Amino acid sequence: MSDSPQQAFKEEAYELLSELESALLELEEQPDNMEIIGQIFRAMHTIKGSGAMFGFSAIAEFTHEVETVYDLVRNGDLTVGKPLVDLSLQARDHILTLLDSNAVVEDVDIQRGTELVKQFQAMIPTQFNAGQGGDMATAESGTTVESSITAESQTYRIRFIPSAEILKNGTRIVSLLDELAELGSCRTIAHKVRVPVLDEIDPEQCYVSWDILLTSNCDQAEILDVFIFVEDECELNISVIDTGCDGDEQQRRLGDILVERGDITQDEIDSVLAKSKRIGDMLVEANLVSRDRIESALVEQHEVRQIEERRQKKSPIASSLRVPAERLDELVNLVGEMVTVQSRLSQTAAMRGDSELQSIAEEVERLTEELRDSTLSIRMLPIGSTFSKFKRLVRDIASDLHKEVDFQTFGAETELDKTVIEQLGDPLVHIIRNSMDHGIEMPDERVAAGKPRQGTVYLSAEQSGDSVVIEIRDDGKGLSSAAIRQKAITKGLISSDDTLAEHEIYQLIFVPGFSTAEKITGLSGRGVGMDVVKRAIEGLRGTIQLNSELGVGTSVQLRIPLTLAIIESLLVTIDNSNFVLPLNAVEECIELSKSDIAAAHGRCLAKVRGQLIPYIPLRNTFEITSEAPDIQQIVITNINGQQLGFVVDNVIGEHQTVIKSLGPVYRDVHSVSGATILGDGNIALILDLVHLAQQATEHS
Amino acid sequence: MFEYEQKNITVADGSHYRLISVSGPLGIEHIVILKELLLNAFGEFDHVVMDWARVTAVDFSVLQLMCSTNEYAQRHGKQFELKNRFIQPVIDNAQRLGFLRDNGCSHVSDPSRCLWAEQLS
Repeated sequence: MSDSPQQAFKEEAYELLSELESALLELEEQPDNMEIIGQIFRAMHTIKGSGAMFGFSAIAEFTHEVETVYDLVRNGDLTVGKPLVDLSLQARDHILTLLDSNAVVEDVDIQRGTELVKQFQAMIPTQFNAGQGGDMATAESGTTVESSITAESQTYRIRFIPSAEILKNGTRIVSLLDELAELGSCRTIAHKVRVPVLDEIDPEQCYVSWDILLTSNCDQAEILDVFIFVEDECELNISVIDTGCDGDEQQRRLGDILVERGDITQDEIDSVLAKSKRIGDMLVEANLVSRDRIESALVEQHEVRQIEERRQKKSPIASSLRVPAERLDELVNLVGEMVTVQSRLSQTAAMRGDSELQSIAEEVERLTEELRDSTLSIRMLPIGSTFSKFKRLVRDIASDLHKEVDFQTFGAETELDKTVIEQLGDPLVHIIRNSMDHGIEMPDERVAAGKPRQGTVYLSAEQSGDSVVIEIRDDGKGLSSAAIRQKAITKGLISSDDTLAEHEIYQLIFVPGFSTAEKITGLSGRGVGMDVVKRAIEGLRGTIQLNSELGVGTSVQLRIPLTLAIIESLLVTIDNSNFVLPLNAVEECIELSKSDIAAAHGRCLAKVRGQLIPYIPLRNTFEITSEAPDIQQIVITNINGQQLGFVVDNVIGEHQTVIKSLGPVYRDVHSVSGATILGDGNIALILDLVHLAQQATEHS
Repeated sequence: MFEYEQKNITVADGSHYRLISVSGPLGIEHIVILKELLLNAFGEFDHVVMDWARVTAVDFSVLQLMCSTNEYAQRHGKQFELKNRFIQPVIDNAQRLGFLRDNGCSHVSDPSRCLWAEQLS
């Protein structure tokens, strides 16, 4: 299903709707920006054209009405204001509903669509209203395109040979050709030589091919875009027609020159030319080419002559390819298997001491590493694709709460694994909702506090090593640590005697059931928020930190690993068991002797350069009963800004860890987040450092 | 809604033909029925007329089938007439799909009997 053109259209449409939403929100801020208006028009236009082609007629018809209005905006006949942006955002949501309905449109959606169309039509100035309608719009767009042919226009010959099966998956060829015609001036010639006769034809198959002459300012990539959904189902040949240099053209010019010089008259030339056979006739007589092809070529020649200014422009051919996400996941899995095998090869080569084998193993290791990085980079997407969703969210919530909020984003280009981005959406929504609901004050309240009426919510992303740090910050009223502490005591989460540092008090917000909201609103404050957010972030092997200052604002910082598939880790052993720690958390390794342990008087504290660092003896955690070696190793990590050591027997070294899930049987085991297969076939458990730290805190 | 009606007509000179009148939008979902109607008609008559006076839309597959039928008739020494094909909904699509042409296709038995060249004459 994911490979079908309809599915491809839907995927493309979702992307376009996301772009449309961002563009509309930008338009609200810059109503005169013609670039944004053009972007909106193109998005609508593509959704309409592709929708019609793949049987989403309700979408095509509805979008056509919206596009009509934006055509007027584009031509300066209608100005942009908040009502138009509001209505357009509603229209965008309606198209999304239609898209989700899989072309089965409910009555209520039809009614909604009709209402929106009426509102759009009401916005159209009277002088433009009379001509509104499907056919009229087509004619208008044709005129626009004709007049848009300029000196920079060039003529393309597009040979489109669809596969016989193309009609069976719902492709509408006329829509495809229409979309092409909207790029410029088009002459379309159908070749029907392969159409079988009535008793032999399978009428559901396509036997026709087309030559299309397109004169346009567009580049080749835009033409390819028209065929993007059928590229696997057709043969497509696009070439820029070179002009004015064929033999016939030269002969004509010679005649013209002679006439101009007065050496000969036009009639005399015509008379001589009439006697000679035309090249086309000669080729047909010689059975070298069919009459059909000659006619097509003559049409092309005619078209070319009509266009005065054309220059072949080198245009980059579209170099992107749409691939179903499942195939990428499969590829990553395969690369993961390969990393494991490569590790085994390296280990075997090292054990045999065969220098040639070792050299091959090193080469394989290098290539595998490159393959791994390239494969993982394919899955990386800019996080900005989700930012636009939040912009809309902030706009809608601000409107509901009657608050004035400016939403600012930074680092939209920061890339993260697509799976991580997908799973990050809900936690971010919750944090932003909290900021809007509990953080940002009402405008009058802000003014009274000496702040600007409009509050600000910042969302930023930035890469930091092999992680991405995402920060959501507001300039609202901030959190009262005293109130949080009091609430925690009331809820029995801490006792009144507990002494907690400021940052520890803020962490209480992430405890299940904690809520500081005075009242429950529709947005947040149900007490089922931040603990769920924290779990979701930790599920991504990330960490979350909250900082706040009363009256100044709150900041929530998420640190998320770039990818979830393969990580760099530190391989350690305890007795005969292997464990890996995510390398991004590791700071250093130090030795722990029996005398060090004795000197600490039973407390798990190590003195590192004068600073006491707590540690967790993993031998105890995993109940490994064998005797510990005289000298153990402490792997010092940084978790949520706190240094914490993990005591192991030996540190083996860095290791590429292909993460394997432990399966549902181990879902309640929180100390390990997965497992990996080592080169020798043994299993190593991936330690969940955050949970181990929490567990240790609870026990102490 | 797609509907059709078939009549066997006898002309004053004693000749007969099958008249198939179709109405509504004609698309790929009706293409198999259309093919059967035409094949059956040619099985019984040497002259078949299809009337599109009440047709509201046609798609590519229908235009392709008409070309196929026209050539079939010529190869079998039969006559095929497509009445009222130059109505707006048909002409629009025929033009957009590049079916309209100055001269009939050269590969067919008789280019002068092209269904889509007549418009220009």
